[in-house]
Formats: sequence, C-alpha cells, structure tokens
Amino acid sequence: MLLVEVKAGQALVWGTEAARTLRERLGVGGRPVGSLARGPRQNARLGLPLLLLPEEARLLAEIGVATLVTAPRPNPGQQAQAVAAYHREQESGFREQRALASEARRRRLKDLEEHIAEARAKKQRGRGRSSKERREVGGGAFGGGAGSVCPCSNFPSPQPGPQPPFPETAMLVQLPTARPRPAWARPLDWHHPSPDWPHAGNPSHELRYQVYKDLWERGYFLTSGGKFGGDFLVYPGDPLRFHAHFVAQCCAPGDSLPLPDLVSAGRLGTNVRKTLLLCSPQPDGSVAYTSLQWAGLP
Amino acid sequence: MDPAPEQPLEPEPGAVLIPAGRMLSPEELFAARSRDQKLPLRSHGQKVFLPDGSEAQEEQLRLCRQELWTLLAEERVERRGSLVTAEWSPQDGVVTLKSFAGKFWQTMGFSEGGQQRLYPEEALYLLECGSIQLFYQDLPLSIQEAYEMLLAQGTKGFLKYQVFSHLKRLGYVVRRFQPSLVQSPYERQLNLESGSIWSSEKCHGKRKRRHSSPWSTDKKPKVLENPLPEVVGTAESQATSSQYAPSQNSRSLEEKPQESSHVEDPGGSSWPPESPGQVPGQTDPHGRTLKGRGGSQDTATDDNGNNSKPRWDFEKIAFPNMACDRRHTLLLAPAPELLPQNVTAREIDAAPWCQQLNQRKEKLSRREREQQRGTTPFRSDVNADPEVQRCTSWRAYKELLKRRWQQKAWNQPPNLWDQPVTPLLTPGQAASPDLMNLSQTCAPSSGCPSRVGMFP
Repeated sequence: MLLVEVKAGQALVWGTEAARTLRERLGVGGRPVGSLARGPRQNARLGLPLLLLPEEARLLAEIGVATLVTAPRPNPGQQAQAVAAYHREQESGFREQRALASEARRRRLKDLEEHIAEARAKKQRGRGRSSKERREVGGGAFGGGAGSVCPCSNFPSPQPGPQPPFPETAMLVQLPTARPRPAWARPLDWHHPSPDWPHAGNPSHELRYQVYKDLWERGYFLTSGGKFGGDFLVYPGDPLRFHAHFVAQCCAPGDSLPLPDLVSAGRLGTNVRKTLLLCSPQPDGSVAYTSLQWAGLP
Repeated sequence: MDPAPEQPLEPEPGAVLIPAGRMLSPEELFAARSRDQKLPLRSHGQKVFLPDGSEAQEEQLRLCRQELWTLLAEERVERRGSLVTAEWSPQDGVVTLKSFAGKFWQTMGFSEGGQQRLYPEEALYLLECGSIQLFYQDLPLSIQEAYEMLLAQGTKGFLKYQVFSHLKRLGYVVRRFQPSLVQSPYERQLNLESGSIWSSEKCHGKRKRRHSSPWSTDKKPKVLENPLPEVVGTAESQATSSQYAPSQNSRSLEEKPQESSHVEDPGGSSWPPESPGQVPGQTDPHGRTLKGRGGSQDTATDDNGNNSKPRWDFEKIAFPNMACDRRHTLLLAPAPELLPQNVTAREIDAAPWCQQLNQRKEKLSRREREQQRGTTPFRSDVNADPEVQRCTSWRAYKELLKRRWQQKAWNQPPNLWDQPVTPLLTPGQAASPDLMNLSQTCAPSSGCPSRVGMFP
C-alpha cells in the first residue's frame, strides 16, 4: 500500500519506488519539483519530491492503491533514543568507512606494485650508468619515466607502513531525501475539506476530477496542462516517449463559453499541433467531449 | 541506521506507519565517491506520435524510465568537512549557522547578534544543494522533514519556495523584498546613496523584522531595477497622506505619529519638524488612517534601534511653503515624544528670518530671459504665415515667393538680380585699358547702386 503524504493541499511522493510504481503500473506521472541530487543547480531535470495533482491523489485514494496521510507530528518521547541511535550509527559508520578507506588504499598500492618495482629498477639502472650518459639519455627518459611514476615514488615500500589517518572530516555523510526514521501518521479523509485537503467539495475540483478519471480509465496518461493553457495534457502513453494528443479544457455543463475564449484556446492548441478537447461531465456520470481542430492544417 | 527500528507504540488507533526512507550503508557511501557526475540528456531519440506496441518503442521507453529512476534514486552524499552545520529554531523562524559559512555567504544570509543566519528558504535550498547539514534538536533533518518544518505556511510557503529555488537554480541572486532598500525617484535625483554603505554590493546586513513572520515579504531578484508594485510591510512614506498641504488648516496634535518621519530628516536642518500650517482660527482635524500611524511608530522605534536610514517619499511629504508667494511662517512646536532624547524644539515665527533673506529681483541675462519666455524675439517662423500654409506644394511656394518679390521690387530690372553673377572682370584680364571703357557702357540705373569691380 503506497503512502502519499498530503500537506496543505499538496500531495508529495518522496520515494523512488513509489514513484516508479505509480508511473509504470498505474499511469499516474506526477511532476518532480525538488532539486536533483546529481545536479542541484540546474532546472532542466528536477528530482524528488514528486508533486501529484489533487486529481491524481484523489484517484489513487479512490481506487484503493494509496492512502493519503497527513504529515506526522514529531514524537518527543522518542527524541533522546533517536539522538543516541544517530550518534551510535555515525560512530560505527565512521569506523567502517575508515576500514574501507585503508582497504582501498591497500588495494591500490598492490595494483601499482609492479609500477613501483619497475620504477625502482629503472632508478637502480640509471644510477649504474655513467653520469654523462645519464645526462644525455636519461635526461629525457629519466624525466619522462620519473614523471610517470612520480606519485609512486612517494609511496612507502610495499609492506604496509604507517597509513595516513582517516580524519573525521573525510567521512562521508548522507543527506537523506525521505524521512530516515519511521513515523506514525493519521490517514486523511479526503471526502471532507480540511486544512490539509481543501479541495473536497470544491466544484471546480469535482469537475476536473470527473474528467481526469474518465480519461484515465480510457487509458490515457494525463499531466498538468498549464503549459498550453488547458487543464490537462492528454498523452496516449508515457510522456517520456510520446507527444500529447489533446489539450483538455474542462467546462461545466451549464456554463456559457464566450467565443473569444474558444478561439484563443483553439489557436493555442493549433499552434502546438494538439487538438483542443472540451470536456463536460454530464449529470448521469458520463463525460461529453468535443474536439476542435483547425481544418486548414495538414 | 539500526536495522531493526524500535516500533514506537501506536499513538492513536488507525494511525499508519510511514516506513523510513532509504539509508545508505557505509559501503554504498564509500562507493558514492566515484559515481557518475554527468547529467544524461533527456531524450533517447525523438518523441513519437502514436504508440504502436513495437519492440523498439518499448525498449526506448524502458531506457528512458530506467534513467529517470536512477537519477531520482540517487541520494546526496557529501564529505563531512565540506558541510556547514546549521540549526533550525522555529521560534525565530531562522536558521543559525554553527560553523563557518562557505561561499554562499556572499549572496545569502544575514548577520544578527554576532551570529550568521539564513532565512528558511535559503537554508532549504542549500540543504538540497548539499552545502549545509540542518539540525533540529540535535538530529539532522532530511529533506522531507525540512520541507515540512521550514515551509510552515502551507501552500503559499511551498509555492514561494518553488519560485525561489527555480530562480536560484537559474543563477540569480534572490533576496527578500524590502521596500526600504528600494530608492525612490527623489532619492535617486538627490543621489542620496552615493556614499552610503547600503548601496554597496558587499553589504550583508539585513534589517531584522521583529514584528513580522519571515515569510511576510515578497521576493525580488537583484537583477530587477523596478520595485514590485505592492509594498508589503510598513512603508513610512505612505503614512503621510497627500492631504498634508500647507494650505490646509488643521492643528493636528493627534496626528503627531505621522511626523515621526520628519524627525530623521537627512538634511539635519535646524528647523523644527514640520507641522501643518496654522491659519488662526481653524482647527479641523483630519481623519488619518490608524494603520499608518501604528506602522510609522513601529518603524520609528525599529529605525532608532537599528541605525538604518529611513526612506521617505518626498513627493508625498509636504513642507511648508515659506516663499514670498504664499508665505507660511508660523511653525508650531512638535510633540516632544517624537523627538530624540537630546533634542528640544520650540515654536518659531519665521517672519523676521524671511525678511533677512535676499529679496531683490534677480537680474537675468538676455539669454536667460529668453529661455524663461520660451521664445527668441528675432526669429519668425516661416510656417506661421497663413499664405505659406495655403501653399500645397513646393512649386506653389516658389510662385508665392516670386509674386512677393515682384510686388516688392516691381521697378527693379529682374535681369540684374535673377541671373547668376557674371563678373565683368576676371583676374586674368585685370591690366587691360579697354576695360575702363567696358565699365562705362553699363549705365547705372536708378535703383541700382553703381558697383563695378575695378582693379588697379
């Protein structure tokens, strides 16, 4: 059972596995809004958390795949235990890292043993020759040879001598993305409005949700349509590989649609080669669709 | 992390246990030193229009997805020595740095009480970048916990943080909007900031807002010159309303808080602070907004405590007009509670002082007089002539000129004026005596001055 934490109307997914399940098995994409760990100072690719649309979160809760929970409150009783556990874990981690560092260093020395031996042999041979020859020939070769194995010349002998200490500042620390300790949280009742879920009962939300659900059940992949001035963008498959087919605009059945708005929405859709889809949920539960396409374009 | 976490007792029935996120083992941490740092390109080929269930499409999709999950699943691993320790204090709503700040200190953060501080959004951004380690009650915060705690204002805080981090990632320097740091047009005219430290780029200090929560102001990137139209927070200049013209006749003892703005007059004049002019006999109180009064009082105390320069909108502050046209010379004493401690002020009648001023009329040069008048007396505009205006083309204009000349000079033979000049003598011919006769052949007509070039 997936858990989606909701705070102030924003539903965030913090785990990669959960995001993967949602996208690959359910066709619910979400939008990453955090900095990417590998490159936090660029905007092209963003990372966790994944922001779900309110309609997506509600759909997941309705079909029973995920539970919406509110953010857990911190438990003061566990604080001291948690601090002690953290320190213990840091110390043990530090010891292990030190062991790993020395092990890695030993392995590296071993790999370069041959090079070290070679360099030593060359040095011996170089000393054996006359000084004149050394100056003529060895000047270049020696310099080149010495240069290539220069770091090795600083290494101690192959026997493990005193290793440089592994300082505390060299210890690697993780800045965890998701919560590092389990926590208890209250499930959210998304049928009723609350400070954490203000969408319940909101007529525009209900409207969009019916359209979202209907399109999702037909197998489309929907994302936020703010880019092209609509409510949703409708993809035939995963947005990673396919272009959107429609820009969905939700309208309530009784609402009048001013002609300039219709024209502007149509033009927007045409300019990006997508069909405008006007969606109206009917009282009987089905959704009526009207599509608009510019006739003149090939 | 402890492999078998102690399960705390369920605090309430129906509560759900959120499992912990992924914590890396020391081996994984160590191996993270040598992981790939490059960002892969997003597309594996062009996007297609229709899904056709083919193997190739499936393979492409799988590759794209795999790459996405790899990127998302990576955790931040940093050397402890390169992390700055910071502590979050919810009461103040700021993050205090416990070790020395790194390079980010040049553009972010502020100093207060001898300590280095960061605003919550800056701290969160730096945490996401992997520059700081944020502690709360001795435990380091994960990014999820930091999001929950630092962006405590609900949706608004979250959206504001999204905007802030987006701009920061683009490379801008983003700071909180403070109306006092924006120069008014009048100040720019006076060039008030040329020598002050506040205009320096290296200034790190920020005014601490004791009376407002950290998220109450808008953000403004440094690259923009124009201030945002909405000015949140107390703006002292707005406290003085435009009703403050000296021709108004109210003795506004109850509006003294508004005059706090005049206490710190940058000119340091010896005049007592301004109070609206009093024409004897009329005491109409004006309704001022209470909000402005409270606001300016707050900032008065704030300013005095912080040694910061007030920013006044001089276009709205009305000074008494003591010029000779509408002299207003009786200046009332200001309320003593508005003045600083060592300053006393009294009522002044400025009439004798004004008489000592130089009242002689200034003697302007002709050019200055012309400038004031806006015209030059000897030049007349051709286009001001109505007949010229009636001409529709250049040919018509030439005909008009011809007509006029003919009227003016009807008795002058045209052949003498209209033809190109043909000198009787050229330099080469100068010495011939025949030329003396030549000059006598043309009899000077009545209107033509006898003008013959004779060379010795």
